[in-house]
This record gives sequence, structure tokens and C-alpha cells, in this order.
Amino acid sequence: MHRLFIVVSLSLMGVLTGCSQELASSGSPPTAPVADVRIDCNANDDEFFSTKVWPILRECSSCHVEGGVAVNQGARFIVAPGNAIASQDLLRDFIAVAGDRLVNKPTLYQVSHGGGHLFDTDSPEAATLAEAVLRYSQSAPQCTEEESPVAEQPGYRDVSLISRTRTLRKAAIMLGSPLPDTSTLNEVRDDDDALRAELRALMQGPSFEAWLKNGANDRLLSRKYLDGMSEAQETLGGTYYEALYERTGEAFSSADAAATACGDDLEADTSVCAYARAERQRANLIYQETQRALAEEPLELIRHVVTNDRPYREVLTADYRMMNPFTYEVLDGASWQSSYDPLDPTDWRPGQIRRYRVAWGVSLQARTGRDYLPSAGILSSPVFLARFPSTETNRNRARARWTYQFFLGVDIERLAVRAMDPEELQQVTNPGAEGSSCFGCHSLLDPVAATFQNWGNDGHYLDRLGYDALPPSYIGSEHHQPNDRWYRQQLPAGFNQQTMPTISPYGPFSGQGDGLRWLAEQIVADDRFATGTVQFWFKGLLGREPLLRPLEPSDPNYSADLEAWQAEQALIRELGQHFRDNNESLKSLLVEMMLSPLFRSERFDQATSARREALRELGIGQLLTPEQLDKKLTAVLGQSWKLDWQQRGQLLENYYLFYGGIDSDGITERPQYLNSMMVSVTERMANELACELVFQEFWPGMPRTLFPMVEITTDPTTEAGEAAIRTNLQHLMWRLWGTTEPAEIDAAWALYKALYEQRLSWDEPTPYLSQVAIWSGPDADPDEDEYCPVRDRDPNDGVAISLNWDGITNSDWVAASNGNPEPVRAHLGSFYNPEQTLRPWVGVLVYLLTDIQFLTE
Amino acid sequence: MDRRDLLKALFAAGLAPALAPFARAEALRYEGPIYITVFAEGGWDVTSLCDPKNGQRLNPASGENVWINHWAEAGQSIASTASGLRYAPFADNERLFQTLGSKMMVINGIDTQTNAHNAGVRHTFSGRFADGYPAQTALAAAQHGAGLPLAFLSNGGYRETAGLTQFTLMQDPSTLSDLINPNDPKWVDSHYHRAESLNLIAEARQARLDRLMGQHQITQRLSDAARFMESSRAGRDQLAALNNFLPETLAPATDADGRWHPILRQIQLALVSAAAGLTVSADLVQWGFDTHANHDTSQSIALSQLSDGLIYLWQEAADMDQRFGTNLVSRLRVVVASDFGRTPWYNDGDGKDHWPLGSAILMRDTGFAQHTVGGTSDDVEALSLNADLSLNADPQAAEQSRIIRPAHLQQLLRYWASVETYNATFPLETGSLDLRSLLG
Repeated sequence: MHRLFIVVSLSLMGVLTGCSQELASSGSPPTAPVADVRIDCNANDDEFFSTKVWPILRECSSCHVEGGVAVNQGARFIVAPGNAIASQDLLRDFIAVAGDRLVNKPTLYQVSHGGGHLFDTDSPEAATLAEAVLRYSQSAPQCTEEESPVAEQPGYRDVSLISRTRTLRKAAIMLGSPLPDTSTLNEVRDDDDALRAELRALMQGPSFEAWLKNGANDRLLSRKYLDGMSEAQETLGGTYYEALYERTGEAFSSADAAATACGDDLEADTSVCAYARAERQRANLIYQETQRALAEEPLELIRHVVTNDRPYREVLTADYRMMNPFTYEVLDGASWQSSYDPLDPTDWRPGQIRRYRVAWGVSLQARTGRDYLPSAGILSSPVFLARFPSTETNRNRARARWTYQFFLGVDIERLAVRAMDPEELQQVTNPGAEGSSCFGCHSLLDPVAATFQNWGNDGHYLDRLGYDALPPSYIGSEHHQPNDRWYRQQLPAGFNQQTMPTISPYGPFSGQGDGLRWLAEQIVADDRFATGTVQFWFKGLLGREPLLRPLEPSDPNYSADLEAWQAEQALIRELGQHFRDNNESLKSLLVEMMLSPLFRSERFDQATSARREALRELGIGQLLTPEQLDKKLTAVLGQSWKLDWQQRGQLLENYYLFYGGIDSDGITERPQYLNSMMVSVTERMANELACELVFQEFWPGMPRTLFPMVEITTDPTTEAGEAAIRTNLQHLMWRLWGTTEPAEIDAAWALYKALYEQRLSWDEPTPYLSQVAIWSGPDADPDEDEYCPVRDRDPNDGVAISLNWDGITNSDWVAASNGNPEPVRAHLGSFYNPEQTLRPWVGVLVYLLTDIQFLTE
Repeated sequence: MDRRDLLKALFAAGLAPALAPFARAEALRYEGPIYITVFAEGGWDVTSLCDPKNGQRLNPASGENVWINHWAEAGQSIASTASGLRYAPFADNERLFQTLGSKMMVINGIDTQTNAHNAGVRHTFSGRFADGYPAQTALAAAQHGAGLPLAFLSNGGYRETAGLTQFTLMQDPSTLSDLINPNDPKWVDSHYHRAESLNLIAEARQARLDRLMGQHQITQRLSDAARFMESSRAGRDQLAALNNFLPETLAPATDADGRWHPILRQIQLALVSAAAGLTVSADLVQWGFDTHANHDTSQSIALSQLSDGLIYLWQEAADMDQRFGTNLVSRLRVVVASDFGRTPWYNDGDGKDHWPLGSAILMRDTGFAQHTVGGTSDDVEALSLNADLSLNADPQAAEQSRIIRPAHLQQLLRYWASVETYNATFPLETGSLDLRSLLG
């Protein structure tokens, strides 16, 4: 594999602001900093440490050990003698807090060192330590320009893929994880197995779980009962779920009583009113979390199965239902053996629906002998059945259609897309009867529909008094026979030409549970369950549906479309086989999907326009959903875009639907491309974030996520300054875009410089990061406004950010007027920037944040 | 010559339309016709609307003659407007037809040739069963809306764009105002950047997009994403025009009975955008027509809300014309259609199932020379048209090639929207029947 070296002018990273140590009196000041640092991408971190760093550190261990003279004098750098592994970890810890002091100290570059001068700044030892700083720095770019592999799968061999490191980075962003650190990136650089392992390692924790549920909801749309116009409790109703309103009702009654006791002013400063406010808050919490728990129950089942590494088939075969305390208390109340916090919405456990009645005054047990409702995973989920309801003439066909689509990858409606015989359409009243052209599809659909026979149109179990779920109109018809559970005119329950065993021809299922359990077992045994699972996760992972089989041979792109479809189908089968071979592990499947050209395609070697058009939804360029972009902001910037009072980011609140969110009700499709409104959202996002980020990061003592290689004093007019800025741009681009193309670094540098020179060309540019005319007196020109939010975003991070105008003395101002900004800056921090070096970073950040490569992956 | 210069030159030479979908047009206020499609989602019952049936027919399921509609069974008669447009005495039809009948042309007897929802929607709104053909509203936006930030608004329904344009979902106007000028902080009267700085950033962005799109090997997906970003960004500054038309009060989102009724707000925002000159076409949706059970109750609610929406559309357009001096009423071109129709009998649950024959209603301020085209038999079977587009009322003599199909509807709508340049790319199978002369 072709290798590149990353060249970084480490010496220009600058000293930490506020460092007050004097230069050592012995020896002359260093004359030249380390010029260029290279990361040798042929050596991994362990090899590099053992062969190059450890020999140097061994020399340090005479002082820098526990109890050693350096440590006793306060040095933070510690070596574990004789233990290279532990020493490497200690070194990482030190670099994380002290950065380039590792090399500055022993070279006496701008800092003192109790051990004196050990080697020169241009020595091999200094270069090694400089490389160590770069390697172990969490935010440094590492060997990112590795060669792109070519896809190996048939049908994709004209496609180049993104590198392994970029694949890992993309996967982390898509799943909402933090960016991988440099050590991890180096481990996967030329090792597919390592990449697999790291991809798999991303699949844990709250972010992955949120991603799973979002992806599942894009299919199942059960959050309609949370985000849409219908609330979950109202939809399910209290007729059958006898205790559904018990807890919310009691909570609101208690809140009302407390409010009455408080009187008219609920905000009054009395203990009674404080109690009333708390009761109101508690009632609202119970209400909201009950809706959420009901609406997300099928999504939680998927999360439970996947995160516990259970075979994925359990999403259909589970003989339990996922509940948290908000639903457990009103639906079950007897299954859980251990205690729980009744207000903890994160405590999800299996349970059963026991608090169910088949009619007013008639319990489930009394009529059926069952203690709880039968379960067949998602198929028997109350909100799944409600989301895809039935009618007396639809007779569960819609549910069967979606069952085929979601779990077998079969779109019944597309099996035979054609004009129907009009006479037949008007005359056929039972499409499931042999003899009509309808029968082809309905012979597949109707038996599956019949397996839902115990679940009524609104999803309630045996909703006709516990006897069956047939409508009264049918019960009164000539066709109905006693003990029937299904329509006599319909095809009997079954799947794949297997008839469901029943007690009598249209009677109930003869086994335990009900027909859905039988159906679930049939589905998961079918080959198409594997390919259906692959297709189910296309939308969540790849942001699109599988390619549709082209139907119209006269279409100009038909041949290329057909070739692309066939290749994708072959790949789906291959992925499905992998899924089966790995104990139906969804995580394993997702890893393979991420390794495939579906996820990684970047370039076409020699593609015709027809070929490109056929593959127009392949690989990179996938527009991030608002959920993913929100997570990406946190991952790459270190902070989200949200208002102080918001629980979630603005992309998930104010601008959610504008930016392509769904309400799982009327709005269920996400846009594939940006429109003007979405562009506006991104511009507002960038404008609101950029200056605040710059202000915060350059504030003394604040950790550097985006700008670790430059200082407020880095002068772009010098060769060294330009080098540092370019290095930082490379770092920024890797974080934000995932690429570090030299031409793009050149362009970003040109923008930085243009913005810098523009400022110098202005008549008295403001020395402050923010200038607002309405706060600056009558002579201020609003056209010269440059607003920057100035605040301490995290008051608990140990670094206080505030502008101390009162602390500035006249002599400070005099110093500033004489070219020394530091005395004023001691009070204003990064807000004071007469050098004009920060605002150009604001502009560059806006440029990067609004680029298509940031908004897509 | 860079891409921008090339486009300018093409515009100057009159060659730009070929590149219109992705052209970086200069800010232009769109003053042409506004194409609105109202989707009656789920399959409406046109026998209780614009193709009224008051008789009985055979229910093939029961083998009995049954009433097609309960209102007919109750003895109610078919009504008509002064111009002779017939409508069912059902739901809020009287208000709809008496208010707007003069603007309508009803096309009855459209044979969608399916009773599957997806196929019906795709066929009705694209003109063929297979995937990939754009909606007429998407074509109109692509043809006439280059550079407009909100050329195609969509609230759902069939919104295939075939990559020609992108749709926008218009939502909460209170948030909308934040997006009109993203350089202004929300709570401070100021700017994030000076204009000169923004210009430098904008130039860098454009150069970056040019570089990216110049890389012919990158995935089509990224290339398309960049191109749509470019066209969206080009028109973004025009969003400020919305400020002049944003309503002080929002249309209600529920009806008088407290039911969800979002179409009024969809209409309000579409008209605001059209008034600002930013929109060519809009898809609106009225949900609730898939009435397999309790048909009369549910269908009546959906039809009444639809009527409410259509009346509001024209009234609000007229009000805005009066308030702002806009010219919306004369520019509106409205088509209302659905997946298909519903059975001419009730099922056991008093519902109606899917029926392939449906209707479309076209509306414009000046109305049409012919108020009704096509039709169905008393049994709601397909009838064909004669050569002069009059109805051949004999179902036994119906010529398959002269029965109105969605392709004919789309041919008519493409003509109406002046987007026939796309016929070569997306040909329609219309045979010998051609409805375009109906538009005069």
C-alpha cells in the first residue's frame, strides 16, 4: 500500500498561554525549533513507542518516577521504570494535558526544565518526542491520506472506496459516536480485521441505541404516537387496556388537589405551592413518559435484542414485551422480580401485558384462561398493530403487506406492477379466490393476513368479547360458523404454502400462543428474513431504500439500472448469508454493510453517465439527518448547537422538520438533498456556533479541540505562522470533512488570509471579537457589526470565562497602544484580539461547517 | 471561463433552459402561474362528490342490487350549479360547488387500472405505473423555478422529482423568520459578520463547489448533493421576500370539531411563498379518504375538510391580492385528485373499498369552456370519449383506447404547466386520446 507521511510543524504549536516559567539560566536559548515532524505510518503506536520513544524515556526515569526528584518538585511527567506498556499510557496522559511541553522541556524551548538541557530542538530525540506528541494527541491528523482500496464485490469493481480510517470515522459519525482517536485510526489503517473490531466497538452505549431506535422508527413509524397527532394512550384506549390511564389519572388528580390547596397563585413561595408545582411536574412526566414508552416499545425491543447480542430473530419471536416503569405498572405489574424506580424511563425490562380485559367486566383470564396476552415480538406490539390498522374488508392485508416488506424485504405491491383488467377489478370481490389475476399476489398476502386473526382492526386481542376478533357484521352473516376465528371465504392462515395448524379449519391456532407466534417462526426460518433484515436497515444506515427493480425496458437507463440492481441484490444476498452465518447478529451485519461499497464508495474509475446515474445513491454524499448532524456537531466540535434552556439541540427542536425530520405521521420521508430552507438552517447553525467556538477555544486554559496548533498570536504573515495555520486547517478538515486534500487546505488558507488582510485594510478594525452598534454609542456604524456570543458555556469545567473590564488599568491600555496586548488580554482573554487573528478563524469555521462535505458523509 | 461565466453566457444566448434545474439563476421574482396539486389521500368517493350516483347497482359480493350511496337511499337528489356542474348532496359539497363551481372543470371516469394504493398514486400523479416519472408539480418547478429557493413545496403525496429539482416542506412560520436572514442573531439587533466578510466566505464556498463538481470521479450522490446545495444557496437570499407576506395569525390546524385539519396552514404558507415570488408549485395533502369502514362519516369529514381547504385557498388568495396587490387568484392552477375511487356499494362494515375509477378537478379563476369531461355509467363503469371529447354514454361501446387514463390527465397537466419539453425524457402512452384542447 502506498504510504504518505504527515508533515506537521510541531514547533509552531506554541507555548501554553499563561506559562510563567522562566528560561533556564544555563545554556543559550534554543535557536531553532523542530522544523518538520513526520509520523511514520509504517509503525503502529506500540512499535513506535518501543523502538523509538522508550529508549529516550528510560533516560528520564532517573528523575521522573514516583518519588523521584522531578516528581517531588511537582512535575507531572512520570515514567514507570521497566514497564514500557505502563509508560506509554502515562505518556499519553501527560500529552493529553501538557501537549508539546514533552519536547519543549528537554530542549529548553521557551520553558525551563529542572533537568536542564538534554538535547537540541533539531535533534533526533526531539523529533521522536515531537512525533509522540502528534501521535498521542487526541485531535491530531494521522496518516489520513492512505490509498483508497478498490471494491472487490462483483458489480462494484469500477468503484474506489474510502480508506479504512475514513470508514471508521464515517461510521462513528453516522452512529453518533465520538470521533476515533489517532491510536485507533492507526490500528485500522491496513487491517480489515482491526477495522471490523473497531466498527463493532462503536455499537454500544446510548448514542448507538438512539441510532438503532431512530433507524427502526424510520421503518415502523411507531413514534407517530409520540410526535404525531395521535397520542399513544388515546390510540390504545382504556377499554381493553384496563389500567392504561390509572397512573396518569392518579397523578393529575393529585396535582389538581395540590393546586387547589395552593390557591390561585401556583408560583407562590409556600411549601404547599411548592408541593403543588412538584406534583404538576410529576404528573406531566408520567403523562409524557407513558406516551413515549408505549410509542417506543417495538423500537426498544430491537434495542434490547441487538444490544444484548441476541439473535435478531427475537425481534419477531420474543415471547415478552419491553416495558419501563411507566408501562409496566399499567400493563403488567407482576412480572418483575427486582425493585425499580417508578419514575425511571431508562429501566427497560421484559414484561407481559396482564392488565387486559376482553370486555367491560370480563378479564382475559376469565374468558381465555390466559394470564397475559400472547407475544410475537414486533408483530404483536400494540402500537405496531395500531400504526398499521385493518378494516372489515381489508382483513389484515395491510398488516401482512408490511410484514412482508419489513421482515422479508418483499414489497407485495411491486410483485406485479401493471394495469389490471378493468372488468376484473370491478367484479372481483374476493381477490384471494383462485381464478382472477389478483390471486397471484393475494395467495401470498391473504394467508399471512389470516395469521393476524386474533387481533382486531385496532389491534386489540380477541376484541369481540374475548371470543374472536371478527366484526359483528360477519358474525351475523351466513358464512360464520361457531368457534371460527377467521373468515370462511378467505384463504386459511399460512405462510409459504404451509398452512397454520388450527383446531378446526377456521378455528384458532392449535399450538400455544396464537397465529402470530407461528408466523414469526416461519418468517425467521425463511431465507428472505436475512435479506429482508439487510433491506430493513438500508434506510437507517445508508439513508435510502434498496434499488428498485427497473420495470420499463424502454427507459434510456434501463440496462445500467438493471445491472446496478442485480449487483445490489447479489450483495444483499451475500450480506444476508453473513447475517445467518453469524448467529443473526445485527451488529455483525451492520459492520459488513459498513465495509461494503454501499457505505464506502467514493469514486468511479471510468464510469459512463448511465453507470453513474444508476449508482446515484451509492456511497458518500449521504445527507445527514438532523439527528445525525446534531450528534456530529458534538463529535467534531465538542459541543452541540442548542439554546441554554433546551434539552436537545436546535436541529431536533426548532428546525427539526425544516431540516428533514419526520413526525412518523403525515411526514414520513426524509429529503435526500438540501433545499434553500435547509441551507438556511446550516448557515444559522454555523453563524451561531463559529464565533462562540473560537472565543471559547482561545480563552486561556480552555482545552483545544479545533485549534490545537495555533495561538491567538500566530502571525499569518510569517512563514512559521502560515505553516501553523495550514497544519491546523488540515486538522480541522479531517475532523469536519474527513478529508485533507492539499488543494482544499490551500483554499481554506487563502480564505483565512483574505479575511485577515481584509480586516487589516479596514479603517480601525475592532480589536474585540464582538462589536454591536446599539451597545457602542451613537457614532457606531451597524454595518460594522460583528456579533459574537460571549458566555461561559460550561461554568463547571474549571475555567471561568468572563470579561473583567473593570480590572483593566490605564497602564494596560498604554501597553496595548504600544503593541503589547497581553496586559489587557489578561482581563479580556480571547475577546481582545487586536492582532485580528481570530475573526478569520470564525470565517473559516463558517466555511467548513456549511460545506456539503460536512453536511454529508 | 468558469462555470458561472459559462452559465451567464448560456443565459445570454438563450440556451440556459437546458441547464435550468441546476442553474445558479440570479434572483428573480416568479410571476407566472402557480401550480397546486391537492392530493386526496386514500381514495376519495367521487360518487359522493363530482361524479354523483343516486341509483342502485349489483353488489357482486352479495349478488343483490344495492344503493350506491346512503344519501340516495334517503331520497336526496343530485344537485347542480347554475352552469350545470353536478354534485352529490353530501358533506359540504354544496358550499364547495356553489362557491367554486365556476372555476372548475371536472374530469370523471379516470381509469387508474389498479386498486392498490401505491400503484394508484404513482399512476395518477405520474402517468405510468413504473417508478421514476416526476410529478407535474416537480416538472413545473424544474422548468420555471430555476434559482427560486422554494420553487417546489411539498407536504406529502407523490413528490418524485426524478432528480430535476428538490422539494421543500414549509413549516412553522415563527421559525421560518429565523431562517430568512441567518446572519442576524435572534435576540440582538446586529449581524454575525460584516457584509464584506460574508462576501469572501461566499466566494470561497462557490469556488469550493466548483472544484468539487469538477471532480468527475466522485460519486454521483455527492455531486448531486453539491449541485442541489449550489442551487439552493443561490436562491436563499430571496427568502427575505417572505417577510413582506408572513401572516400575523396562523390558519387553524384543527377544524370546528377539534379534529386535525392541517391543509389550511399548508395553503397559507404556500400562498405566502407564491406571493413572495418564490414558488412555482406546491403539493397539498388532505388525509382521511381511505374509508373501508363507516364510510359516510369518515368520507364526509375528509370531503368537508377538503372543501374547506379549497374555499380557503381561493379566498385567502383573493385577500392577499387585496392586501398586497399580488396577483395570486389569476395565477392559480389547481388540480385535485386521489389514488382512485371507491366501490359503488358498501361493504359489511358500512365502508367502501377501492375502485379503479376516479376523477380529477381542475380549477382556475377564469373557469373552463367545458365544466365536465368524461364520466362513468350508472353502475360506475368506465365510459369512453368520442372524437370530439364528448361522452359515449354506452358502456357496451366503450373503446379501451378512448377511456381516460392517468396518462391523459398528465398529458393535459403537462400542457397546462408548459412543461412538455420533458415529454421526450418522460414519454406518456396516450394513444389517440388527447385532452389538451379542453384548456382552450
